[in-house]
Amino acid sequence: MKENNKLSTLTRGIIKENPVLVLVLGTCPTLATSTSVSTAIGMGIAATIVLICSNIFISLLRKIIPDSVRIPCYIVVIAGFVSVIQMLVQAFFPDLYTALGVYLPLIVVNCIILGRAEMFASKHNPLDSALDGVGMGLGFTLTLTLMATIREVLGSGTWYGIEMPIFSTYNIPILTKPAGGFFVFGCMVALVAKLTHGKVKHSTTGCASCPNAEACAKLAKEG
Amino acid sequence: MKKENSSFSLVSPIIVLVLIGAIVTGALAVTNKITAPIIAEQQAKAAEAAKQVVLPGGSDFAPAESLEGLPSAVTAVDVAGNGAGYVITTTTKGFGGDIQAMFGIDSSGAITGSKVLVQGETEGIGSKVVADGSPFQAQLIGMTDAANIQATSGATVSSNAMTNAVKAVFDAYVILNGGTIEAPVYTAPANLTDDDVSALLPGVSSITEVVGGKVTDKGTVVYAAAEGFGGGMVNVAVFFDESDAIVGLVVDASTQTPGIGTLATEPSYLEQFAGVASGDAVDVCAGATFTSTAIKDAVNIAIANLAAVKVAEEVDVSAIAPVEPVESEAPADLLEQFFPGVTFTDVPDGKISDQGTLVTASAQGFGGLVKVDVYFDDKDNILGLSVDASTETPGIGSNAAESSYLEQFAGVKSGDDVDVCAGATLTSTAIKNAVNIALENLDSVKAGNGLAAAPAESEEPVESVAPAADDVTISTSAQGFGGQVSITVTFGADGAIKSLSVDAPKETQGIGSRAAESSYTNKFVGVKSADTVDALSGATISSTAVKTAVNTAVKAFKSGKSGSVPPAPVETAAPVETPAPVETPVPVETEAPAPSEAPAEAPAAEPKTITASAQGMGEVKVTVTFDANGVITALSVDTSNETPGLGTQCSESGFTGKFIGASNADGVDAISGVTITSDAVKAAVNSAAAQFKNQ
Repeated sequence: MKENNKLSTLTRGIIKENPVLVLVLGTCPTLATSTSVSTAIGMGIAATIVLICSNIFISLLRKIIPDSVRIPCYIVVIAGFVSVIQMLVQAFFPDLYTALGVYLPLIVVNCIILGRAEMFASKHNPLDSALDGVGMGLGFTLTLTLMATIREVLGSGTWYGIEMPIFSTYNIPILTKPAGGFFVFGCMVALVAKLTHGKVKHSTTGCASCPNAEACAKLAKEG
Repeated sequence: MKKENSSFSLVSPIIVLVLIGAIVTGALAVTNKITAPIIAEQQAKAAEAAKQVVLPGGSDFAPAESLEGLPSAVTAVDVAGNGAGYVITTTTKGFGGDIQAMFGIDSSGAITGSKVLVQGETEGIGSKVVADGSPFQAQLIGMTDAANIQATSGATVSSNAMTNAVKAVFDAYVILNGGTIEAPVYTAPANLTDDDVSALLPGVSSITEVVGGKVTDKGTVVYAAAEGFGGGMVNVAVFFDESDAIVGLVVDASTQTPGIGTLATEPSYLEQFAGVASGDAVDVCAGATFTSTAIKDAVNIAIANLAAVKVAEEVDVSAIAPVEPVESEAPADLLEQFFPGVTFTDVPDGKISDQGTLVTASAQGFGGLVKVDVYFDDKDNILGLSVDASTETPGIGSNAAESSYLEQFAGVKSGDDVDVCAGATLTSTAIKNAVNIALENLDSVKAGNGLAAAPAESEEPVESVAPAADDVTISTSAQGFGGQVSITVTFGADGAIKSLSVDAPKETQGIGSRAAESSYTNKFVGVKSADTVDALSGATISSTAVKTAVNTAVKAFKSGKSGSVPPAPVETAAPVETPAPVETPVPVETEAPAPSEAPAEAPAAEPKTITASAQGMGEVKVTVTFDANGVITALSVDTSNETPGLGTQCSESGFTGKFIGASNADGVDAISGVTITSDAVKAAVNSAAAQFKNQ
């Protein structure tokens, strides 16, 4: 376990270990909610809140949870959190609840949260885990927003529902479809790979070059 | 992780997992207890707010007790407790699946707002119709009936779905207020017989005629109708057995194109409906898309109406019965009315007496032969007529058989002196033609020789006509589909065609050959140019050949020629080369000369080009070239009647190119947003493909 200062824990989620574009986690909700900026931001914020809470909790429980049942435990904790948050938001922030719609319960299956619980929170103290949750959540939200901006402006000619001058006349409707989503996703992954070239090791192929390698290897060993 | 003894390491995961599960469940239970009442309140408020969006001023909404009797498109009705009106939710079929929409309608029956809840319309096309605040939605506010809804151009299917929803809302409003919607009362298809009933419902012993159908001890017959091709109605009787399963249909598609739309009435197609729960379960009949879609729609209507027909009130047969005898006795009454106490002697095609004459003649109307009895007095003036227009469309063609129209014929010297009856042109023209036939043959009937030119009774009427002294007979020919089509035309002194016989041995039997039948050739009688006669649907090339040849003959007649004249191509030079000297005394033709012998043409060489049309927003014409195997090698589309920029896309090669290499249009998708025109192109291509197969 390397000692990182708090700032790098917070910021590496944005580019260096961007959950969507580098770790390639949570691709499904990314593609589904990046058709418009408003849903992208809503999904990002909701996922960030759950991510922070679950990271703190898992980190607190990391000494108690036995290795062999840690995945079921994480899922129960995360699902419980999502359900509690969903009910609270619905009761006290009905407008936000309407805005988030179906994306709130979908967070349960967002693998960024389970991924960070497994990769980070289970090995770090609650403060670091919370910072990691904030950083990863920020990275997720920013990526979603950027991707949604590209897709919404070029695809529908609007941004956050606001009609854009030229783009509303000349739009590319395929970008709002899943195929267009994959296209934008691929371009963004390539761009981030270029930006982080030299910082993230890509010299070797296979498991060793993957940021998940450590957790993966551990899982494989335990069977 | 830490090493523990084996029993602990076995038990601890279970304990931890159970504990975590219990704690999380407890937390959820507590949260739920706190939030549930708040959430319920929020939801009720939100639901009310949503309804207030479409019905501002409404409050205390409560769902209607029952949706029974409401249009099937209505899925929910909420009544405003303060009497402001109703919020009605509908589901109708759009382009991309069901469209669920909510409408507010105030206590005066005017729409106060609308909101589409669920839809899957094409982004940028159908979405223009369903979007909040779109011009389509905005026009609805304040409407009290659905008649003036403007469809959004390019999004016809979505617009129609919304229009149907609005219609259902208005109907529901009337019903909710205790009114009743006059459901269209469907009548039996003309070709439905009691034999059909006993064949499809074996063992049937009691049949009760009810409104919209028949109720029997072995099942139910439900009538329905839907619009087919060209706006003609397709009447269908659907037979249900005792367990309400469809056992068969009887379809009257007499308004549809013979040989094309009528394909969908073949038993092989109709059999597919047996046992289905919805007309949608049966595919359209290739080449007869519109007609088969109409049948499917009618089947759906019948399924929806089945329950109503079962309990429908019995038709008062006694109220109808007296009508028919009156109609059938009419001729006798007129005879008595015009010639009281006179004894008539029956002769072929009429009755004669010393006081007057009755001549019976018939002519081709819309649905079949129209039989006319013409009453002449002893000075051969027309006293009146009685018409049997039972083959004509009730309520349309039958208007021409009303006495108010027929009275105009009294005293005329020719049927041409009476105008056609508006809305019943074909039927009234048939009456006029029949009157002319009667006039021409009055002397012949008086002499006891019957009609010389009764089209129904003589296959080759021309040969039996003794041309008058100044009649001119001209024979010529034109290129048809399979070879030369030869015609012989007899002109009267005024240049009007008196008779036409067509010899088309090389045309396809049953298709092109129809252009040679008297039902078609009679349409030329009385005209001075073939341009006023329509081509025969399904036999365009053959009938156009007849028209071309007739026009050649007309030109020849005008230039004073008679006898055999060459086909049209020579005609171009004719006006210059034929000088006045031809003005010899008009030869008296005593006999129709044999049709000029045209060189036997080889059967049309590949590729074959076929022209067809179908109904889009207007008429869409296609010209399709097929190779020897029936594969489309070229397609051109005339969309001049379609919306510029939308329907006209269908004539562009991007669309027409998709047809190349196929043998019909079934594999080609419609252009999104231009569905009606693309479907018309596809229907026309299929109809051309059907013609190709038949020829």
